[in-house]
Amino acid sequence: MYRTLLTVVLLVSIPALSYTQPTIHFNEVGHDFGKVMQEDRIAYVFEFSNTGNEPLIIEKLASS
Amino acid sequence: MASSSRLEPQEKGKISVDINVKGKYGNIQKTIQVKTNDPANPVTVLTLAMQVRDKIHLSKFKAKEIFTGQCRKCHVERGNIKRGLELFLTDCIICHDSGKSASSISEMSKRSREYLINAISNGVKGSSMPGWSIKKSGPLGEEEIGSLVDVILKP
Repeated sequence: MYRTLLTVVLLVSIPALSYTQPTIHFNEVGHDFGKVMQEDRIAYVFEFSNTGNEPLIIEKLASS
Repeated sequence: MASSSRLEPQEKGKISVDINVKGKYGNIQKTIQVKTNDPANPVTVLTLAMQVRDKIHLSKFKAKEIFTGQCRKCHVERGNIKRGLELFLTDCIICHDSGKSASSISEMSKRSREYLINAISNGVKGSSMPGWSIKKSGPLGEEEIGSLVDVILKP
């Protein structure tokens, strides 16, 4: 009885665990500016969205 | 910089990147790591690529001109008194770095000693390689040219 119940609980909870999550989606992850001059101001904006069903947290941005 | 550090489901966000390329030259790649609480994609890597030019190198020059005028400062004077690898890494690498138009070290190392001495001394016709020997009004003596060939042919 307990084993059956446990199996049912597990079967119900596994999809629940994997389907409620934040999902980051970028329209693009790279851009090539081509030829630029040293004096140019180089700026770019990456757009993204949270396509998941939980809040998405940006924890850290690092550049190199 | 991110527009907001917390996004509700379906919300859109922006990451703005500013790059300063003053004093940089050639192929530059910049990456930005975005760390989030998305369990499937904890880190997304964004890449920005560019080829940085400066005003001097926009105009076409004759190969020999690198020994004269404003070009001397980088193409000749930095290599003064140097020999061998040190000289190679100062003068030759400017053009003979991998990914650049001139032959790479591995390509050059397939040539014979005679060919290399001649190419460095007298230049290569139809290319941007000038003759570096003093006879060709270049900055290098026979001994310096020989030391460069040693570097190229070194196993």
